[in-house]
Amino acid sequence: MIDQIDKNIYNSLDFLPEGYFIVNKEFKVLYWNKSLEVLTNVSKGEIINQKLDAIFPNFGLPVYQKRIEPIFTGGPPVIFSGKLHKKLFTKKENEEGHFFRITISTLPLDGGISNALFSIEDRTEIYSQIDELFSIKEKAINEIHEKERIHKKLLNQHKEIEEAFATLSVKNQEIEIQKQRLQELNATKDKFFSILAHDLISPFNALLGLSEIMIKHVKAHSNPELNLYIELQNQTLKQTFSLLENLLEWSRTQTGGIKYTPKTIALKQIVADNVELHNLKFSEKRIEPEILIDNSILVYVDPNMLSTILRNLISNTIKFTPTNGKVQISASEFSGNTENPNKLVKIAISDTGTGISKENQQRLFRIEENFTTYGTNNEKGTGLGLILCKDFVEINGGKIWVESDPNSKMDGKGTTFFFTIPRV
Amino acid sequence: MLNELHLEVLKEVINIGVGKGAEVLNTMVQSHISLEVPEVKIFGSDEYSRFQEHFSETDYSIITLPFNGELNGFSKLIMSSEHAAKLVDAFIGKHGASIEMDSLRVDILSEIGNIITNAVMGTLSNMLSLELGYIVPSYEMGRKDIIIPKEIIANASAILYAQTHFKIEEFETKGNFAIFFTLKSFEALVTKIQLFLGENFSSESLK
Repeated sequence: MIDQIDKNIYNSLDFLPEGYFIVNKEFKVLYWNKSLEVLTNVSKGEIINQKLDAIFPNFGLPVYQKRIEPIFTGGPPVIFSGKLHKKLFTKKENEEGHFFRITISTLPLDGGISNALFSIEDRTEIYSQIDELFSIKEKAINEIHEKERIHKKLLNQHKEIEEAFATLSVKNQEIEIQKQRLQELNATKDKFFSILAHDLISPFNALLGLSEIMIKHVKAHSNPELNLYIELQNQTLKQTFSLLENLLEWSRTQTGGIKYTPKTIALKQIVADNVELHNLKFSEKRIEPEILIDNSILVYVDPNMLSTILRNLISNTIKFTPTNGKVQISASEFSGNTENPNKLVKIAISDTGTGISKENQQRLFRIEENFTTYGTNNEKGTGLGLILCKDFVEINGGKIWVESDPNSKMDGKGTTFFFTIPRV
Repeated sequence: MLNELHLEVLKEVINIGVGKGAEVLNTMVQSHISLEVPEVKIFGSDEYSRFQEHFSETDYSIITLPFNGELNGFSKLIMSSEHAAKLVDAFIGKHGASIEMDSLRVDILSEIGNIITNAVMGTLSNMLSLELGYIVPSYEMGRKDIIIPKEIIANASAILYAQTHFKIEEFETKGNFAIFFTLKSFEALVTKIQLFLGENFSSESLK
C-alpha cells in the first residue's frame, strides 16, 4: 500500500528525532520509523504487519479505540498527552511507562478511507524535570512549614522565658525586700547583743566592784564614804534601769509587742509631767527648763509612746547641756506638709548644749550606726533612745529631725530636736 | 440569515458534541466530570465587541482546531488561565501546581481542548453531512486580543459562541467554546442546516 514516493518520504522520517508510525483501519502497523525502535525498544521487523494492540495491548482498550476510530474516516486529529497516557506503549501491566505525547492525524486514501499517522514526541526529560520541580517545591514547602513550626515554637519559648523573667524579677524584688528586712533584723539583733555585751556589763561590773568594796571594807570605811558608795550604786542602778527600760520597749516595738493606742490628750500636761520626772537632774545642772506650750493644744497620740519620746529627748538635752545652760520646750502649728494633710503640731526641745556635728546628726536615728556619746558630766547614753523616738514618732504619724550647731559653745545655739504629732 | 430554528439546531449540535466530549473526559479521570452549555449565541461581524464582553479576565489559554473543506474556520476552547490551571489540577491530582508548569499545562489542556473541539466538530460534520478537513490543533496563551483570529477580523465573519461549564465534583471551572466561521462558510452552514431540517422534519412540523 506504500508507493515509491511515500517510501522516499518515510525513509526521510527515519532521520527525524520524533517517532512516526502508520496504522491502517484494521490497526495493522504499515510503517515504523527508526526513532521508534529506540524509543519503544521494538524493531521494525517485530511490528510491521502486526496489529498495534498485539504489541501494545492498551491501544486495544475501548477508550482509545473510540477516540482513534474517527481518524480512519477523516476525523479531526487526536492528541494524547504524555502525562495522562503513560502506559500506552507498555507491553506488560507492570512495565514502567513512557511520557510520550502522541498526535494522530489522517492520511487520506482513495475511497473515503484513511490511514492514521501517529507522531510520537518523547516528553520524559521534560516530565522528569517537572517531577523534580514538584519534588523541590514540595520539599521547600515542607521546609517552610517546618521553619514556621520552629519559629512558632521559638516564639512560644521566648514568651515563656519572658514570663519566667518577669516572675523572676518579682521574686528578686521580694527577695531584695526580704534581704533588707533581714539586714534590719540582723542589725537589731547586733544592737541587742551589743547592748547586752557592753552597756549592761559595764554598770554591773561597777555595781559588783562597789558592792565587793562595801563587803570587804564595811567596817573600815566611814559613814560618809559608805554613803558615797551607796549613792554611786544608786546612780548606776538608775542608769541601768533606764537602759533596761528602753531596751525592753525597743525590743517590744521590734517584735510588734507594743500596740498603738491613740487618744486625745493635752500636750502641755504630758510635757510638764515628763519634765517633772527629770527635775532632780535639772537641779543638779542648775537648769531651769522653759515650757512654752499653749494650754489649748490637744494632740491625738499614744500617751505612753509620747512619754517615751519626751523622756528620752529631755534626758538627752540634760545630758548634753552644761551647768547653768538653758533648755526650752515649745510647740507650734506645723503646716506645708502635702504628704500628710492632717493638722500637725511641731514640738521643739532646744538646749544650749555641746551641739552635734553634721556627720553625727546623720547617724543619730540609724540603728546600724550604734552611735552614742558621753554627756557634759560623762553621762552614758543607751544608744537606743533616739531610735525609739523615731519609731514612736512615725507610728504616731509624725517625723523627727534635728538642727544643731557644733560650735554652739561659743554662741550658745546648741541643739534643737523637732518632732511632729497629730493635732486635734 | 439564521433564524430561531437554525439556532436551535446549532444548540443541539453543540450540546450533543459537548456531551460526547464529557464522556471521553470521564474515562480519563477518577472524578466525575459533567459539562453544561447554558448559553449559545451567534455574533455577526458587527458584534465582535459584544462577543468580547464575555471575556473579562486578563490571560487566556486557547486550544485551536483549524478546519477547512465545505466550511472554513477555527474551532476554539477558550479558558482563563486561572480556570485552565484548576482544570489541569483536577486531571493530575495536584492542587496549585500547574500554574507555573507550562509544559504540563500545554500537554494536558491540548488534550482536553482536542477532545471537546473534536467531539463538537465531529458531531457537526456528522449531523449536517459536512466534508471537513482538519489541521493539527495548536495551543496558545496570552491576552484576550488573541481570541478572535486575525483572518476572521480581516474578513467579515460570524462567531458561534457557547459558554461551557466544567463541573468536576467539588469544584467548577468555566470555559468558552467558539467556532469562528468565514462569511461564506456561515452561509454554507445555514444552507446545510436548512437541508438537515428538510431531511429530518416535515414542512408541517417546521411551522
